Amino acid sequence: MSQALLQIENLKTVFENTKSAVTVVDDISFSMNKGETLALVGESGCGKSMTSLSIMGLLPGTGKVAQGKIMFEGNDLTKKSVEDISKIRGNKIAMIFQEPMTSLNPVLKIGDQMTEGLILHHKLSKKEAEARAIERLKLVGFARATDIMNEYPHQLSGGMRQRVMIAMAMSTDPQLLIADEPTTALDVTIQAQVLELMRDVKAEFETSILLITHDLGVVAEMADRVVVMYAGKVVEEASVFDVFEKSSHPYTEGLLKSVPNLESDQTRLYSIRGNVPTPEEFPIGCRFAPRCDKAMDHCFDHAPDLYRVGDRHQVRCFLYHPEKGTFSHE
Amino acid sequence: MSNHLLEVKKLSKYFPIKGGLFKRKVGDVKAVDQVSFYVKKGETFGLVGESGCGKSTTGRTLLRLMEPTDGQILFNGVDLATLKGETLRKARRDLQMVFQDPYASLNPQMTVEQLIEEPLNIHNIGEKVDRKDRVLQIMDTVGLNKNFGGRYPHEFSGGQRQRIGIARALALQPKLIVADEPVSALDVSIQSQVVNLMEDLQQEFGLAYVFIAHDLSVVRHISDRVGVMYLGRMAEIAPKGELYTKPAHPYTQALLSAVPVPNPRLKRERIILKGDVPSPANPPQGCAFHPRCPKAFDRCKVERPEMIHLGSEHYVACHLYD
Ligand SMILES: Nc1ncnc2c1ncn2[C@@H]1O[C@H](COP(=O)(O)OP(=O)(O)OP(=O)(O)O)[C@@H](O)[C@H]1O
Ligand SMILES: Nc1ncnc2c1ncn2[C@@H]1O[C@H](COP(=O)(O)OP(=O)(O)OP(=O)(O)O)[C@@H](O)[C@H]1O
Ligand code: SF4
Ligand code: SF4
Ligand SMILES: [Mg+2]
Ligand SMILES: [Mg+2]
Repeated sequence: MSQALLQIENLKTVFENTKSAVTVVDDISFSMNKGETLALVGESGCGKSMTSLSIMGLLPGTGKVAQGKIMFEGNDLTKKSVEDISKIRGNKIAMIFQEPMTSLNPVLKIGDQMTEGLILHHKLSKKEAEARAIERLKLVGFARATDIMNEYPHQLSGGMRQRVMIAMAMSTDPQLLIADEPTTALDVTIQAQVLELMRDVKAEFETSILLITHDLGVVAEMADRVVVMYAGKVVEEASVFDVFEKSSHPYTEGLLKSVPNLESDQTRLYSIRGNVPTPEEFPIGCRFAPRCDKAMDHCFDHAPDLYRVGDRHQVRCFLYHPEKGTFSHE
Repeated sequence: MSNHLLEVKKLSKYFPIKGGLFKRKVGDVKAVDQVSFYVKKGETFGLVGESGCGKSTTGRTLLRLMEPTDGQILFNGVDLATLKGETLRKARRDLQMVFQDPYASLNPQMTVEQLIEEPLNIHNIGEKVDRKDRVLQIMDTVGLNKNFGGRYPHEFSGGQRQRIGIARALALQPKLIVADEPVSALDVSIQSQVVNLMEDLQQEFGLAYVFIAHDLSVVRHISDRVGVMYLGRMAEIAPKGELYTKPAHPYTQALLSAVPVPNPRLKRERIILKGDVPSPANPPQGCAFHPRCPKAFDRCKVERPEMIHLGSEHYVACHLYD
């Protein structure tokens, strides 16, 4: 595991208020190698964004990492000071968000926003910073990059803003790019442009990408490896091929079957019964048990661990417990 | 023609752009620009296209939630565009709408029972005592637990709220439901529940749907025929099998090729369009798609293409087929 760029170990993130503590990320572990694209998938509220914000040290409100390690290039980010983290952030680790307007300053010209960090943290001269910014804007497909430098965010379309965000994120040559639903707000034809761009950037700079999405099509297209989350937990981790071809967790299986297919007609869609639970109502035992067709009695009051089912393929389900036979007939 | 429940002819909806010192009208946003299509009894007509192309405006104008600027909306042969007052109110019973964000369209101060009963009260349907039964029956039909009738919308999950929205639309036993992105805000595992419910209800009540969505896979699943819009205009209409396997319009071709498919081994030929969708306030001359069209030629810049019939129920607005 020496070549792991990022290694998350038993990460637990909680929100504390006066009355109680809510655990939104619960004992998450995964690792990413250099140049790898890892997709973090799962439905709304399962903790994808909180996982990424934990890595970035950007948890909102009362959120904090309560447990676990975030090893980046061999250093534990949870042990770093606020200043050190902010140096790494926007430098070796960059992030792009779903809604670019939340991270673009509406009253600053694109050029000023792009050069600010380069001048401040990278000690580039204004000229050098501008040259770098223009180069990266060209890379993301702006033919008139010099003009864009003088424009304000509101003058650009959604797809153009997202491309600016990528250019900005890539301006410091980060080793790790965290992209939280980077194309969810975009139209499909613009999404296709942005995804192609991310692939190009990755090929050129060997950037590792942590891609957060709920779109299984985007996963199939972009990811090398996949981590599936459900209700704050990792339920499956595997290569992209294993996830789509040998998915083992009943939730992953159900998710894949409920997506309608563009390529063929199905008479009826599969559907997972019930609802996605909120953190306040996470079941004890296996969190998927109330919705699982394969649930055994044991599942309702025991929580499964991650069990290995293949090469770098792990599943959190008692069906894969080495001694499954001992409790399946309880 | 007689099996056309709804026939829309050259429907347009313009929004005035006001500007200058005296807030005078300086132009129009042509949100819907001479759109024609029909919907048969009991079928699902899917309406797709990118953000801002006029899908919602088309849907709302059909129900006269917005006044059309021009065109006809023939429902069972009667032109809804010209109806007024009581006759319009009566006709509207047969057409209902389901919205993308059920939360925004449900009064937070009303219980689920009250919400579902409201349309019955407004249209004065049945005896008061019978209405309660009817409400419970509808709740059962859409899969809402009858014991939850006294609860408020915020006490439900997204998927359940969408069921409430569908229940309200069903209360009046309409013939046509315009569903505007009914599953777009829902999680994948919940999406399929609602899609299945809509299909079941269609079977049971012989409903017709206009199903608006930007997710082409969902539209393929639920629709019988599909219309593709671009910048306020209809680019192509075809039975779904044909549209998805033999798209004729260059825009439909690009749109379909851009959809990521959940199969990591599939390497598809992708048509990457250049540039962004232009503003409907200032649409390009000629074919609205020509600045981005990989197949555009001289004629496209000056002449707007008419709908051309390609056979069976396949229509396309593109000079390549003229
Ligand atoms: N500021 C906060 N205070 C308390 N709980 C929060 C806060 N922000 C988020 N949460 C909770 O944390 C959980 C995980 O949220 P997160 O944003 O990580 O979900 P997600 O997987 O990114 O979902 P989505 O797909 O909707 O973006 C959710 O249940 C959410 O309600
Ligand atoms: N009330 C209004 N006043 C002015 N312009 C409007 C109004 N409603 C819609 N528009 C404009 O009309 C065009 C079509 O909008 P519409 O909401 O119908 O698009 P849509 O296809 O439903 O898009 P989306 O997929 O984003 O929902 C857009 O350019 C929009 O800005
Ligand atoms: S542990 Fe049991 S309930 Fe959980 S996913 Fe596996 S079979 Fe289903
Ligand atoms: S009419 Fe011309 S520009 Fe328009 S879609 Fe056809 S080929 Fe392209
Ligand atoms: Mg999120
Ligand atoms: Mg809309």
